Amino acid sequence: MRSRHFALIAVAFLLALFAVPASAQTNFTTFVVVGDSLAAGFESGSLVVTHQNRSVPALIARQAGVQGFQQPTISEPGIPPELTLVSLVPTPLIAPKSATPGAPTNLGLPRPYNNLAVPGATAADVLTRTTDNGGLHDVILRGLGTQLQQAQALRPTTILLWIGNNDVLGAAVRGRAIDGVTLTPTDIFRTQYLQIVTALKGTGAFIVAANLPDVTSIPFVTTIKPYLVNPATGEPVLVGGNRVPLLGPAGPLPSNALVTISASTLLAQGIGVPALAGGTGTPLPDEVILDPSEQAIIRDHVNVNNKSIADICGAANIPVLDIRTLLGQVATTGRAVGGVTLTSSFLSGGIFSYDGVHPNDIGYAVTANDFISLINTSGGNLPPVDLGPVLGVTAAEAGVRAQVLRPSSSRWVPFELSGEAYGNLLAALPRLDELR
Amino acid sequence: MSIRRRVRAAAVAAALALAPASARAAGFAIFEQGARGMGFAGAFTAQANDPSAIFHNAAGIAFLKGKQIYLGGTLIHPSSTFTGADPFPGASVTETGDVGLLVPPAAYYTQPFSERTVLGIGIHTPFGLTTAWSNPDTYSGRFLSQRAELKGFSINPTIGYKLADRFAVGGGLDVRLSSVRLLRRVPVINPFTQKVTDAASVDLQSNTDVGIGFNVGMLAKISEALSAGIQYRHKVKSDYSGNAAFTQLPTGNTQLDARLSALLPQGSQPVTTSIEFPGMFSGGVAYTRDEWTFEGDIDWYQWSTFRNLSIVFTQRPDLNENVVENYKNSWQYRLGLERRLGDTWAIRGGYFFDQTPAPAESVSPLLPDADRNGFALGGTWRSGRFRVDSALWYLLSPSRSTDGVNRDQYNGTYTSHAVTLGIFLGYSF
Repeated sequence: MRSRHFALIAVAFLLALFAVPASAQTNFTTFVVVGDSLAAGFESGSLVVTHQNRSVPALIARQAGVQGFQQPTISEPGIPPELTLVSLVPTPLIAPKSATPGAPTNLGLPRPYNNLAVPGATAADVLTRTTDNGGLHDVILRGLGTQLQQAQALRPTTILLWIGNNDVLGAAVRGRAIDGVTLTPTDIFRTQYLQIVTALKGTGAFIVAANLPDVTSIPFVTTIKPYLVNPATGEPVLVGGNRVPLLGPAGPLPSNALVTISASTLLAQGIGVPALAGGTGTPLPDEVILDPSEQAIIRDHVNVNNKSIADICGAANIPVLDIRTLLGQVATTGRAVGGVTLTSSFLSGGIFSYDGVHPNDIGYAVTANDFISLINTSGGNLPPVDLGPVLGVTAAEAGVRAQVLRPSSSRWVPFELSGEAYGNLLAALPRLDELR
Repeated sequence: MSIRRRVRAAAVAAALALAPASARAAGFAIFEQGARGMGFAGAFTAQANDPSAIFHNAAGIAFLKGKQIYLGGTLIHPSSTFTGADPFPGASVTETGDVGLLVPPAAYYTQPFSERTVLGIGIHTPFGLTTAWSNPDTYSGRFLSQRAELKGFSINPTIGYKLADRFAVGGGLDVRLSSVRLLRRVPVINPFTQKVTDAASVDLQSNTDVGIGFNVGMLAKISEALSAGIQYRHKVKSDYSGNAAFTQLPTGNTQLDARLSALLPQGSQPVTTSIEFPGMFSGGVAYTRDEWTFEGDIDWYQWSTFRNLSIVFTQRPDLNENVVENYKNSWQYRLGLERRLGDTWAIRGGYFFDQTPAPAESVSPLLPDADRNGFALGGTWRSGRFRVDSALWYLLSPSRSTDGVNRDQYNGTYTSHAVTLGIFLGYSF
């Protein structure tokens, strides 16, 4: 009896060895995602089912034919309420779709979600955070442990790991680059990332990762120029043949300073605009400005962290999607798709959503295809996402909503965020607790 | 089933349905310049024994007796289909070419000038192209090209000179008149929907440019039975000026329309562009025995001259476009056979292979180029001073996939075929 058992086990073991299909390396039976807002499908300042269903992981799962890929879906208009473009003229106005947020619709799932990515999560959060007092961590983690613990509990066969964006993003969107405060120190990030990879590698799953974009190239910080622009033409306002720099705490802004989208509400009131140009003459606060030295510090963190990601993943045989290069290409030359050139321009570039930080549906679909290409070079065989309908080129376009709620008439900004939009946006972006 | 296999299966299905094709030889060269030569599948350099020698081999006219007129036209009916691939425009997309009927005409006249010299003049169409797609306002490639036309002809005054009874040289001036027309849609991202929408249509029409080239040839009648010929036709550079007319299209959103009207160029914008037509070299050998004549030719096209299509908006440099083509030099192989049936009738047949000069990256809705196999059938009826030549070509291209590497990320498989019918009349006096 015993020897028979032994023989059976031996046979089963041998079968298991030989029955592993060729694509076992990318077995999507249990596909699990660890990450932040980019992997969650956060878009236009909101986590909402419409866009969650078009998130990078959701698209990859669909293309891989994954059954039962569960996400922490949130009903319309999302948490926080999704931003929308209310009007385009005389200047674009962006506001939440509604004052009342949506609600989670998949809280009853008796197991961890496949997509565990939590908007706002840092590498440290993945390792240690279980709650955030009623925030999105609680909606997604539901007291079942950290992202990492829940990912391990699912016994994943394939893992998408895309973390670290919030270890650098806060500095860009808050206009302050302070190591250890708005930026995770690079040595700490390296240690945390290694811990995450080591733990995930222990599950035996195939892992695909992505590095970090240059967060100083996103529309949130590139849209508002450091000088006055005529919103109607997009051309600089010239006085005596010279551009009119906006005012910062240290005087007129240098031409290579970046001004964040958060300045739009202030500029609309004339703050930061020289008195001779009809503004208040009062300076913009430092929090909405990235001076060149702050940009350099942020880029340096992105580069060092990307080196850590490359080193750690390289050693663990994990393919890494080079988001930094891909997004850099979008920001510089644009990306061609059938005669359409997608760029990083706010509102009209086709890649970024209304929050200026996160991609829109097109941006996520393009990114999903980049992941799919990488997965396929690692033994996968996933068809790419059909971009025709996503772009709206090969399917009828949905009706255009253009109801004018509150025309904006700012003389100073290329667009305006409503007060609610501004509040929601800041709430959704990485916090700066330590600085307060 | 993988995407690739799905695409291939779709392409096979399309080929079986004998649906589609394209209007020209590989590249945009046209070889249908005389129905007698066509009957030999274009292998005519070593014979060149009618006035179409002005196109095929200038030396040939040196052997022509009396005054001769040769004129006619070729009906070209191309059809083509495109099956898309993911990610764009998508595996479910099928597009159909809609070129209609093309009729490049040709006319030649030759006349002895002295005992050894024959003069001639011809009008023919060595290059030309029309590419157009069905449902141009909605088809998935409309932002790349809705319609492309390269129209024109060569006026080719020619002299043939017999150096010996059986050896002649010839040369001609190639005065090439041509114009370009390009139609496409201009896309924008609708900021409200975050989808692509058609902002404008642009219709670029050039003036007619006159480019100058030349051609030279040699023809040796080595024996009664055997002849050999070579010809070289130099490249011709054409610089075009013209206008691009922008027509704004309503997007369905008045606010966006207002924004776009401020951003888009209004009315006509001056543009310049240029095309360097490739040089070509042909060499052939013809052998005659009893009532049979056989000819085999090899042609070489210097397509590497077609590096890009650069469209310069002289007043709006921000609108400039540079379509990279990077064509490669290419070869054609032609075989033809004739059998004469008494003094009145002759029948011909032949085959050619025409290699595409276009790399996969450049295979696009603007220039969906592919290799071509040509099957020729032709005949002649003559009576006294009159002659009627006709020839039918069936052109079949193997499916051409962009292999996922098209420069504009518009990927898929093009399948094409064409039927051409040439009818030419000859009269000598």
